[in-house]
Amino acid sequence: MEHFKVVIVEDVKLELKGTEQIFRSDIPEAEIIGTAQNESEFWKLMRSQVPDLVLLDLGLGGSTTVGVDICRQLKARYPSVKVLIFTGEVLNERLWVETINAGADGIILKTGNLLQRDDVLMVMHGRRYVFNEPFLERLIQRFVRYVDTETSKEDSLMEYEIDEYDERFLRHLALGYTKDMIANLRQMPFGAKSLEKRQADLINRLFSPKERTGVNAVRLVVRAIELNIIDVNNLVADEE
Amino acid sequence: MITTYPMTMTFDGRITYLLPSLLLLLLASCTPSPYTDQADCLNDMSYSLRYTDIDSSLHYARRALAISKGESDSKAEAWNNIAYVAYQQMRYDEAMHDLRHIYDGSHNQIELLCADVMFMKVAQRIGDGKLFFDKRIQALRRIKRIQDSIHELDARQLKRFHYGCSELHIVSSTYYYYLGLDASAIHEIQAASPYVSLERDTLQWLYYSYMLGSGGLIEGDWDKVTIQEFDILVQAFSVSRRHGITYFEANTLQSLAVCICDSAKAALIREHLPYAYSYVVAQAAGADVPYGLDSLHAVSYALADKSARLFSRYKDLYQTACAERTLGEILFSARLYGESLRQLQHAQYLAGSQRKRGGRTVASWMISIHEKLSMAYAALDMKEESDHHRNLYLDLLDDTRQNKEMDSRKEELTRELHSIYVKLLILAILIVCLTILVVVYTLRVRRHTRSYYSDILNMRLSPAFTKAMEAVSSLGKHLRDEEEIVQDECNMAGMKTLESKKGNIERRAKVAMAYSIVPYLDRIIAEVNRMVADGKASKDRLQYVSELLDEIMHVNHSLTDWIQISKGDLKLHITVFPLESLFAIIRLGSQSFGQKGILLTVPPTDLMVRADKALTLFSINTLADNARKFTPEGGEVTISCSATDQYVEISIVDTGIGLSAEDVQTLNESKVYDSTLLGSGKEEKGYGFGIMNCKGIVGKYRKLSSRFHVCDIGVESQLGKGSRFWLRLPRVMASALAFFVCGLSLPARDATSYELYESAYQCNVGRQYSQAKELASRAVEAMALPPDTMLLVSLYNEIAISSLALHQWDEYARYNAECVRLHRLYSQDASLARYCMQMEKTRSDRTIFLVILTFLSVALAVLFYLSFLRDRLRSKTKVLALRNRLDAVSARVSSVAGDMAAPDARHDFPDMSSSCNALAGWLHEEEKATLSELVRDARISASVHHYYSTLADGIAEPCRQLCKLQQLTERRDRMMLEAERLYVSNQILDNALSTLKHETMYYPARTQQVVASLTEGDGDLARLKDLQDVLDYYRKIYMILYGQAERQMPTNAFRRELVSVGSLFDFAVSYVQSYASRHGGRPGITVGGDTPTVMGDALMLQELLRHLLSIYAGNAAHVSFRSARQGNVVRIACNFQGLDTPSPCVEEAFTHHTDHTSYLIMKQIIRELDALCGFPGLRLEACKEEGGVTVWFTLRCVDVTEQA
Repeated sequence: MEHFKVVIVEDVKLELKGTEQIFRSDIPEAEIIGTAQNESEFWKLMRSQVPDLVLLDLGLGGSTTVGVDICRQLKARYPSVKVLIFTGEVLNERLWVETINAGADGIILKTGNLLQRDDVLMVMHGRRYVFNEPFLERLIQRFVRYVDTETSKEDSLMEYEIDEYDERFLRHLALGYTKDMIANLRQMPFGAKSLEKRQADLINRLFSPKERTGVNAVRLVVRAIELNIIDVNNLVADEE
Repeated sequence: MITTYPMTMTFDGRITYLLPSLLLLLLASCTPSPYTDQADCLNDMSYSLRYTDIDSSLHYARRALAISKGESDSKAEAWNNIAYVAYQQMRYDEAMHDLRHIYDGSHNQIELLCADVMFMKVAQRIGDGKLFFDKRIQALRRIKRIQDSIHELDARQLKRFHYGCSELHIVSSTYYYYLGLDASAIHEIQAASPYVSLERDTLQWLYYSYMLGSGGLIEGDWDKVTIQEFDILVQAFSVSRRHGITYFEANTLQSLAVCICDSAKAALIREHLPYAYSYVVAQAAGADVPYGLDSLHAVSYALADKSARLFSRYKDLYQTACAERTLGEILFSARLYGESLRQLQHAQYLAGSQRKRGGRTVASWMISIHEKLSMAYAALDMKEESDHHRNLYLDLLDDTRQNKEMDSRKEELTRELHSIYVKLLILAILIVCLTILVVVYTLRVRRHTRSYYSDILNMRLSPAFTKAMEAVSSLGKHLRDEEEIVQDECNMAGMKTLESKKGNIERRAKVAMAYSIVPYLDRIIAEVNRMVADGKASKDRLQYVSELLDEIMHVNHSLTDWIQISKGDLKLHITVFPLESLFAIIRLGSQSFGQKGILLTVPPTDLMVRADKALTLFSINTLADNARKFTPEGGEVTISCSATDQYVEISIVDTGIGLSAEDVQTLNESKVYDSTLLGSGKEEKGYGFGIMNCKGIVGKYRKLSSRFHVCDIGVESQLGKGSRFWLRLPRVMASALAFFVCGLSLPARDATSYELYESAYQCNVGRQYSQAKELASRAVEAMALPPDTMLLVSLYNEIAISSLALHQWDEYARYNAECVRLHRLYSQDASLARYCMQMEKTRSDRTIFLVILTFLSVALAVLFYLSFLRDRLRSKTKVLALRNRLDAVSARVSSVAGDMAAPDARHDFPDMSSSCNALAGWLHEEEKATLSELVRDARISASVHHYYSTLADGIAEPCRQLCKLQQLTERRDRMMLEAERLYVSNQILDNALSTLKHETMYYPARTQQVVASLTEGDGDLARLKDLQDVLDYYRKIYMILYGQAERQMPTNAFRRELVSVGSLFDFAVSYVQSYASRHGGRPGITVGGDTPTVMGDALMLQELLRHLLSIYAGNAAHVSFRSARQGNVVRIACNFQGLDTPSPCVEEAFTHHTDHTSYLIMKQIIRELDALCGFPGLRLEACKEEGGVTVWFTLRCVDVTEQA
């Protein structure tokens, strides 16, 4: 790997020290051309010399999220400069997303093994979405949970014997349709009366005998959402 | 009886032998008679024997009665015959009693007519004029009725009818004769003549002839009348003698005797009727007469004596006595006074015997006896006896004045008329009174109605209305007071919220500070891991770790200092309150238990505790939530409390999964534990934090004062059976006519005549008879015209008395007769009968009038009611109903308003608001109902509308106020809730921070020691690994505690609001000026630049400025604010000039190295705003400038149009 120029943006001196040490000891290819403790210093630095990589802390001075904005501006002004976020915001997932949206090439959380040579090099090799282990752990957790939810829908449909009419009925109930309106749908070959029956039948299927008393349409729909029978994020009415 | 003396004629006849022949004749006449009815035959026998043998007559009549059946006509006839016998025997009451049988039992008009006539006869004898006339009127009506159908009568009925008619007229004639109504009497006897004939009914012819012959009933010259009468009498005598009809034989003899006694008459008859005369004289032949009688008197005496004997044989006491009296008269006339007196005394004796028998005496009978006795005594100069009988005579005369009866009748009629008049008068008065009453009542009703109307029109002056309006206005006032109170509470809640927010942001800053060690810690761990990986310790790395540890300790130190400084900022709100208030809130949450199939039981309690209400609720809620979480479906959670003198123990008991003994120990004993390790399953974990927080709260109490040393918290549990968490708190011992008297104006008596009469009377009393007679005669002459009849009668009486005493018999007879005549005249009125009838007619007219009047009155009353009063009453009723209704409306309004304004009323504003609106709605409905049901009058309608609308307007104000109050209370409650939540959150954060501090303080120092020894030593790998383990544990504990603290930070503590930068500058200016006024005019302030609208929590933005200014306000000479918009942000820079401290350190202002925690709080605010706006990248920086410091920050701008 060829040498590349690095600018470190870190407001805490002690941390800067540690980071510099990591570069020195582990990433010899990197040449630290400057460090900045605040935004103005950084831009000043950028005007003097454009680095290949900017290691950017999200919180500077009184602001804990200024890095997101710096990243966006940097990517706008210097599209070629790689930006690796090095942040202590190990719990703030939302901020991570903001950062990715701002154009950062990777996010390294200041926990675990901190900054690794491989990660830096991957960024320098043009890889996007370079994350360190704690980040990826969280990413995988989230992904697994999402996939689980997706699959649980299929399971529920089978377990509770939900046919396409049940699903359509529940989905339109969730959209605020009355039974008469649902009965008028093109793909709903049932009258309002039989929809009443279907509702009672659904209640019997989705609720245990103890829970059935007092269950109304709203509760039924909520139950269907809980069981992932209908997707609350994808509630679309059928075309009429 | 004055009239009987023409009848005194005696005939000595023997009729004894005639009787059988007469009977045979009668019986024979019976046999061929067409009547088959034996009763009729017997009745005929009885009738034919009535003037012959009274006993046989009675006998046959009774037999006829006995055999007649049912209510046959013969029965009635038999009763008539029986009654006649009783009449003849002077048993008048019996006679009337017998006659009543006919009225009761018969409808035969002829027999009833005969009965009427019989009654008349009895009435005449007993002197009952009213009865006489009543019966006569009845009888005349019957005759008229019978004559209508006279052609239907058979021969026998016709005979009875003729009998009845002739008898009626003869009796009436006799009656009128006695009354002195000669014309009427003559008229009546003439009326009788068509009905009598010798052939058809001998007895009735004899009766008629005797009456006609007895005198006074034939008009004409005295001599002609005398001759005619004598002739008739002689014919009657000869017929009765031939037929042996004793009664009429005796009567005619008596009349003949009287006639012959008068020498003038006797001479006239001897001249004109010599044969008849000699026939009569022959009848007297051979009779025994007293010595000293001249021939004429002897004949007269003999005839009368014979008559008396015949009467005696006929057993007619009355007529016997009359005959005796006639004898006395004849002897008196012959001047044989002694003999005369004896005879008269005998007659008196006979009459007396009748009285002794108990029967009624006939007054007229006694009158003549007394008069004659008086004369006889006077003739014998027995003055006293004479006077005695004279007085008795006059008394009786007075009593039996012919028209005494009529008088009584007249009086009676007058009385009746009087009573009718009285009734009429009363009725008239009643009508007048009634009319007056009605008028008064009507006026009253009208006045009342008018007053009711005006009442209605003025209903808004009624007490009920006034009361209602007062109640409404007092409600309004009450509500204004309430509003003020609620507004104050609102303000207070606002302040509390502000305080809580301030506190919250500060704690957030502290939490953020606490977190700031985590990167250091991670770096240490990374360094150590690296060393371990390298297998050796590196000095540089150890050096760096050491530095990092120092930094961590510094952060800890700063945090400890900060916490220490703000300690006491947030005090516990210790109050005394009933636990039930909290239990009620917890019961509201029973639904969440129910959804999970868990039964939540919270029994009521009256225990009081001393504690922080919000924190106690938090604690109980936390424990109850845990219990819910760890109790499976069908389980039970009970929240109850028990007490000792010292404390109240609140128990949260569940039938959940329970805890292991180790977990119980950990929970009870450890301050810090990994909650994730507690419990047995993945889902069941999480007892930890809640209990840890509760423990923190208990710890706070305990630190407060010795009173709170009883505070404690604990758990008892058995795995699988359930748990009981308890919390002890200090106990507090609890503790609704005048009648015109018609002045009978007596005519002024002629003074002179009266005086003369008085003198004459005195002379008579003084036995100066001639002088008395002289005086009385002078008085009569002196009498003025018209004469005073009564005085004249009295004068004639005095003359008669004096004549009597002077034995001037002719004079006496003349004056006595004149006296009697005048006496009759005085009290008689020719038209009396007609007058009586007229009066009767008047009576009935009056009665009819009375009835009509009564009817009219009633009809008028009814008409009045229907035409006027009913409407009035109805309208009065309606008006009253309306008034009552309106009053009721007001009463309801005042009641509702009063209830709401009652000082002890519950201030449930939504409830009051709905009842207020309900009242307004009710008023509207009630107005419609009232107008449609009770009001027709437009004026009233308007008034009623006004009434209602005034009330409605009155109530509208409280309605509005209540609406406002409702909003205000909601706002207050929301703020209170917010403040309370933040308050609890702050307390918990304090706990968490405190725990974090205490529990992790030890590790950095410990690690430092290890690092130091590693530095000194060779970098033992084992020790490095130990270090690694310690650091891992440290981080784990730290992250657990930090995680707990972070979770306690409410995510919705701040609001998204639009705030103008101008208002922020205003705040800053006022802050600085306020500060400057307290500190010698320093610093000054200038503001300028763009003032766009930014997004954020206004309170938080103000806090930002407050903290910013607080840092340098104390030592800066001037503060200037400049704002500049840069795209979607606004940059606000604050420059402090003329700082006392020349070079403030600003490089590390936002780190734990800072001099001012305000920097940290500002940092936290910016971070929160950042999150709040969803706009990362807000800046906050501080930089040194020439002669001062500039602190600037950016805020997210919002274009108002964009926002809209």
